[in-house]
Amino acid sequence: MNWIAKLKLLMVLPVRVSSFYAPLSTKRLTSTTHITLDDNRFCSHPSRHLRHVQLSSTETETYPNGQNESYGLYVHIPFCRRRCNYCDFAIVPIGKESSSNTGFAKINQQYTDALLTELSMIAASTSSKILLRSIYFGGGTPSLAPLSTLEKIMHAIYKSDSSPFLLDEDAEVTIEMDPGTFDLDKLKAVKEMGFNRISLGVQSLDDTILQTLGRVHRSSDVYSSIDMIRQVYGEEGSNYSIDLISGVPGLTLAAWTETLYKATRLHPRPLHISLYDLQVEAGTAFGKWYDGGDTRDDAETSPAVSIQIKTSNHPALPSTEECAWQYKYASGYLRNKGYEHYEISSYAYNGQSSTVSHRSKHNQIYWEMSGQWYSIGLGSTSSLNCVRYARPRALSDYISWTRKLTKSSKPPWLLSTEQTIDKESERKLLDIVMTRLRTSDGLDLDQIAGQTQFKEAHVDSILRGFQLAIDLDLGTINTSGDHKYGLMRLKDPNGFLFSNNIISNIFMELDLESD
Amino acid sequence: MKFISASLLLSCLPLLAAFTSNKLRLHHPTRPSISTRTSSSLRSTTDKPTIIPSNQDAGLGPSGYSTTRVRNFSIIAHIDHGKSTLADRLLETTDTVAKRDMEAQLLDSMDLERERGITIKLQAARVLYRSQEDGEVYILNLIDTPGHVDFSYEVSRSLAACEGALLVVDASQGIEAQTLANVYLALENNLEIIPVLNKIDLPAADPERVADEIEETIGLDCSNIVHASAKTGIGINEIMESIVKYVPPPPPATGGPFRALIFDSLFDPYRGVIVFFRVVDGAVKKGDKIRFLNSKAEHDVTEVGIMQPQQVPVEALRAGEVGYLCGSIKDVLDARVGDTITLSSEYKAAAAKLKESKSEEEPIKPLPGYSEATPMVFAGIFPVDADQYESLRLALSKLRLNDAALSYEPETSGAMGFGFRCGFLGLLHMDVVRERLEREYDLDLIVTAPAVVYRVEQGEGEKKKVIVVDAPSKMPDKLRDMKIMEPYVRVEVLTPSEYNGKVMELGTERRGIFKDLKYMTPQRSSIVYEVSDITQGYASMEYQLIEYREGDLVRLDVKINYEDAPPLSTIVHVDAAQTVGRRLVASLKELIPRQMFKVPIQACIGVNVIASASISPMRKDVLAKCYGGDLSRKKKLLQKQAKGKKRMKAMGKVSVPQEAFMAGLQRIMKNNDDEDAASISLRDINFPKKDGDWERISSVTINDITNPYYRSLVAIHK
Ligand SMILES: Nc1nc2c(ncn2[C@@H]2O[C@H](COP(=O)(O)OP(=O)(O)OP(=O)(O)O)[C@@H](O)[C@H]2O)c(=O)[nH]1
Ligand SMILES: [Mg+2]
Repeated sequence: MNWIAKLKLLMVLPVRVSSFYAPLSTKRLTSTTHITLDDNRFCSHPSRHLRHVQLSSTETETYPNGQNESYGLYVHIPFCRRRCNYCDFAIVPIGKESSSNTGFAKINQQYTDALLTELSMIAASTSSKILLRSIYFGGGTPSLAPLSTLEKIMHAIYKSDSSPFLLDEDAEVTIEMDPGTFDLDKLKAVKEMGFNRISLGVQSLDDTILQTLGRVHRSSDVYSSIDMIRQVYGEEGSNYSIDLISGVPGLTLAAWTETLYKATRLHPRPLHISLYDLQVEAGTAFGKWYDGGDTRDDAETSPAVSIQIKTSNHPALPSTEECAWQYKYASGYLRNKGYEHYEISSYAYNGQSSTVSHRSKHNQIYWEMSGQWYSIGLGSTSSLNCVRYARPRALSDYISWTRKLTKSSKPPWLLSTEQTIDKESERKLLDIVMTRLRTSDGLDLDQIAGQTQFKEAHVDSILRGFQLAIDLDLGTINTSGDHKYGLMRLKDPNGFLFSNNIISNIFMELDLESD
Repeated sequence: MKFISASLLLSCLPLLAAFTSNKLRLHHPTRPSISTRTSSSLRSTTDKPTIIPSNQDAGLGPSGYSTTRVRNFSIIAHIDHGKSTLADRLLETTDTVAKRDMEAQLLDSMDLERERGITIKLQAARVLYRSQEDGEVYILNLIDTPGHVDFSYEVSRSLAACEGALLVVDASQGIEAQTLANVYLALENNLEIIPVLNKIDLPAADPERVADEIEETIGLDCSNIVHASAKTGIGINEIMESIVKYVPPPPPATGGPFRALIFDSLFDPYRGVIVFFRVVDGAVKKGDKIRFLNSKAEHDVTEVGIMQPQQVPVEALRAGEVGYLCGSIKDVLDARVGDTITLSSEYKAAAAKLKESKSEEEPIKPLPGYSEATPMVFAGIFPVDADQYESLRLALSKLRLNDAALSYEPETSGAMGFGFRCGFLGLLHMDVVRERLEREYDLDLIVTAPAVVYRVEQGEGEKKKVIVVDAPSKMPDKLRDMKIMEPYVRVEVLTPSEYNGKVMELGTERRGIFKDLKYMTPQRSSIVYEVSDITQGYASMEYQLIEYREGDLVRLDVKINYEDAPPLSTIVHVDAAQTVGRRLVASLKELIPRQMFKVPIQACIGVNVIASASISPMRKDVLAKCYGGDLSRKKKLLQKQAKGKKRMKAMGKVSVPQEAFMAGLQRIMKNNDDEDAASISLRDINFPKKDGDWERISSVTINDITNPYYRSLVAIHK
């Protein structure tokens, strides 16, 4: 929030601002000078695409904590034992006995090299270190990667002289780990490497549901994993998040309340819960079983008496009514247990005396108005410099893509053409609306109105698109003090539940206006 | 006549400009194939820009031009009997179109025509044919016409430019609804009709039977009828010989002033209005100043030419010839179809003469022209996005020039905003207009369910008031002394006799009043019904010309989420109201997507709800995760959702998709599916009679998937 105000201050002094731009691309600077500095809050200008930590002491004064001038880094580790029934991510199934498998050793080697190539490309594109406030190893199952691999990557990220990055002192460094894929020694090593947060792929605490999901682990693995976390990080130092999925085939309302009950009694307590409503995606096993279909909307039937129609041997999908109920129940229950529902599918513990926020720093970068992040790895997407760049999703494509990267030229994820920048403000506005309305902090309309790249007409369109949400009591607009437009928020849980509909109403109005 | 002069040489500069613009026209989406051919052939004629080759009478041989060696004819038939294919063969065997440029139904140049495989607009072409009889070269101006009844207006305009008509009859099908209708049109125009049996290559062809049918029902002599196959080329030369032999030549120039009849026009964004016409007397050449008698507009002619079928400029067009001209005519109203073209100089001279003699007469007598087409079906067209209203207005005005049968006037509706009430000749016509507007003018439209016109009479004698209701929502609430009159049509069904029973069942089902059954030949019967056909809603489409009878009718309104939805109102028989209401709400329930709240749908008569249903609310519409990698994908999903909504109309809080406005129509389709697996459509068409009166033909086509014969119904109404 306040960093924006700070930036604004900076904008008054354009000359000084430019003095600490990275000397990356003067050429592009001239070709895109029609973008005003003011825009930078939303669309990082190419010339300042890297806000480096070269700040002199006076500049640091302007940025007392400088935290929001930093970036996120996502590292994708695609290995999984097998593909889960609901999964459509970019993963590489490697089977059970991965460690002794020579085929895996080769893939691992190639993949590690590819990641290191990307990192060296990033390093080559900058003359100074880039400040990170978060690193996130996601997957796949990063905990399946051999320790040596993780070490090499962490080293290349920020530990060597040639590393492109520098860690903010209170940076969040997360690794996704699946129960049953690590032992105490591995976890100790992970801690050693600098990971200070663990995202545990729990999904469910019910063994039948875990089986339905196609997971390899069982609930006992979850409990032992958490105990290991306690042993390694200590009672106080354990900072872990769990994933839970609702709306799973066969998941009854009673079983769901049971899952939440157990989840909130885990010890030590998960400081963060990511709670997803299952989406049946085409191309997954569920997609086949349930005919690609969220067509299960027989909303007239009440949840208590809904008839579950079994298709073959697979348990029936809950009705949308039941899914909605599970979502709403979780929202109320977790709030009661001290969790803040700060985004549609994210809960952060803030109960008791806790003054620190346990929101995921990393994910919040995605939802920020001007969040920028690097990414490396298969199928990952970086968002820098007005360029959202997605890497190939197939392993062989990705590997050959990294082999074609040459240090002499600019990395593709930094390349922006005049055209992409022109389209940027519109695209960016949709991104902002979509991500901000997913958060409990909401969308600050005055901030949008204050931007030269967005017109007040845009705000009017957003307001028009939101009207139905207000009429149906699904959203609010708070105006206080000198706010002209106010803060737009979806209500928890009912507004969140219809977020797509409301956001697409706004998209439609914005679209009509731009015509 | 010779027109080569120094001025002609000078005038090639603007001509060059016209050619360049022709190249640009390549990108114009409406007439892709024709314009491509146009530009290439035009360029070939301009390789030597200093001399315009006198292509005027190229190929005519030593005898040159004479009206005695001109034949103007239209090709008419029922839909799909092979008119366009026959035209292909004529273009091909006369080498008008090179073999390599030949493609099936070449004259169907509109995208829509090619996609649907039907002709929508008339298309003229000139071919040269050396007669085997006398060895002379004849100019044959042919006009390919549409077969579908909705486009009969195109046929009647074509016929006015001709002396003869080639009547194509599918030898495997026999006489059908439009065969008869088009014969009557040709007779009204005093044309020589030359029947041809087509598709004799088909195993099912029965030329003897069909020839008998033609003799008996139409009364044409079929002793020398040509047996042809437009597909294989059998009989094509004989057809051309009979054209030369039987179609009378156009009357020669009288020495009087130039007069030409506009039978079609086209708006070209680069050349302005292109006018297609038939010269009746005199001649016109490039550089002339012309005057349109009706619009009184004057323009300089920048180009005259013939269609081969691509436009080829010539020096002049003379009495008896068919061609086109353009003159940077920007206003579409200046050159209306049916108007008479004259030369400004001759007009002024004649006017001056008249002034001397103080005569009240018109300086140059206009040609008969055409009566306006009478719309049969009305529907509202509204832009989805209110900002497109102006574009829609412009698009309609341009399309109107291209489609003389289209009529429209502005309409404002509380629910739908600003739009137009449009009149069409039938449902296919409506569909074609909608598609062309959306496609050629890039508009997003909502079209309301088509309806016929009702009349409401109030009071008696002197005080009697008649209100014409062209939209169901405009039907006033019923008062005691009010009579609601509905149109009745007389339907004459032509059917193979073995289906008599089926047709009569159908007639009864449709509340038809049985009138007559005749055997035209032992195998073919005519069955006559009178129907108000109110259960079909849109299908009883009378406008003004046939009988109106009082009906016990009510306006059935629809409320969505307790708000009136006037575009969805229909007019029904009291005793059918319940059923119709129930079906209507049921189909609306299907068609309107779930909203975030429960949406009641009610069908009401006045304040009474006679049927209701409700759309249960959706329970969730949320994307679980939204992290870095999938932001773009999620956004695409939402943008898609937004795009879908953009095509809907907000009625109160409810987004209603285009299909819902056609719910009335859907209800009928369903009805038919349930009952006899045949889809039924009824079309009406008027045509002028000699005495200036109107005659009406209504036709019903029953498409029974299981039987190809069971499909031709005709009605003739006075
Ligand atoms: N077997 C056979 N098929 C033919 C013959 N003539 C036309 N057809 C086919 O009949 C169909 C209709 O032909 P068209 O030439 O489009 O008919 P049309 O009369 O112009 O149709 P509309 O313009 O829609 O009224 C096409 O599939 C032709 O290939 C023929 O002599 N023999
Ligand atoms: Mg045709």
